[in-house]
Amino acid sequence: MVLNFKYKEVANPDGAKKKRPMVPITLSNGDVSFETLALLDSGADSTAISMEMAEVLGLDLSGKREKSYGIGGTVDSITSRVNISIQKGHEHYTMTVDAKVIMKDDIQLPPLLGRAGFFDEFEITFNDHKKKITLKKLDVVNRRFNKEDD
Amino acid sequence: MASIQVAITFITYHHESDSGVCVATNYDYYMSMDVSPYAGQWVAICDEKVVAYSPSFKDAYRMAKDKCGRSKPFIAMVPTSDTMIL
Repeated sequence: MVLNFKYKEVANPDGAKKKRPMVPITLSNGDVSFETLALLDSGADSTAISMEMAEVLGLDLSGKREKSYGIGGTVDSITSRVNISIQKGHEHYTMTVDAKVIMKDDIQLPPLLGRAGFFDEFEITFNDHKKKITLKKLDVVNRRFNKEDD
Repeated sequence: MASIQVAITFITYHHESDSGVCVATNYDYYMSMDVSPYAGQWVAICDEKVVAYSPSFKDAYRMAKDKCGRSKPFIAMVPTSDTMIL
C-alpha cells in the first residue's frame, strides 16, 4: 500500500545540483498513453497539465475557459478529465481526475499533481534530507474517518 | 519448479509493459542516467534507450512514437538550473 520514490538530482554546468519531488505517472485517454515525471505540488489546488500534453492525449477542451493563477500571473485554463496511473513494483493505482489544462501553447511544464484528486487520495511524505517521497494510498474508510475528525 | 515459476513471473512482468501497464523500467533508466546534457528539454526513453529529445513535448512525443513501436514512451522534462517557484 506504499509507494516509495527517490528524488532525481540533476547536475548543472555550474556544478550545482537540483532535485525536485517528482514521481513517474502514466497519463492516458482512450488509446493514447505515455509515461512521464510529474511534480508533486502541495500548493496547487488541482492537477494541471500543459496544452501540448492535453492535445497529444486528445482531451476534451470544449469546456469553459477559467482563470488560474500562480506566481507568474494569471493564465486561461480549461478543466478536462484525464486518467492518471502511478505504479511502483506491484503496487498500481489508477484514478480519473479533473485537470486544469493551461491554455498557453508556449509553456513547457511537467504535469503538476495538486491536492484535489491526487493529494486527497494519498498520505504523502516528503523527506528532502533522505531524498525520498512516500505515497500511502488512503482507503475510503480512512478518508471518511479523517473527515469526521475535522 | 520454483525457478520455472520465477521465469514465468519475469516474462509476464515484461509482457505487461508492452500491453499497456506502466512498468518502471524506463523510469529506472532515467533515474540512473546522467540527464544533464538534456537540461531544459524533454527526453524520451523507450526500451531503456534515449530515442528523442526536444524543447517541445509534442515534438519529443512524435519522434518517440515513431521509434518506440508498441512500447509506451517515457517522456520527462529535464530541469535547468533556474529556480522554480510555482
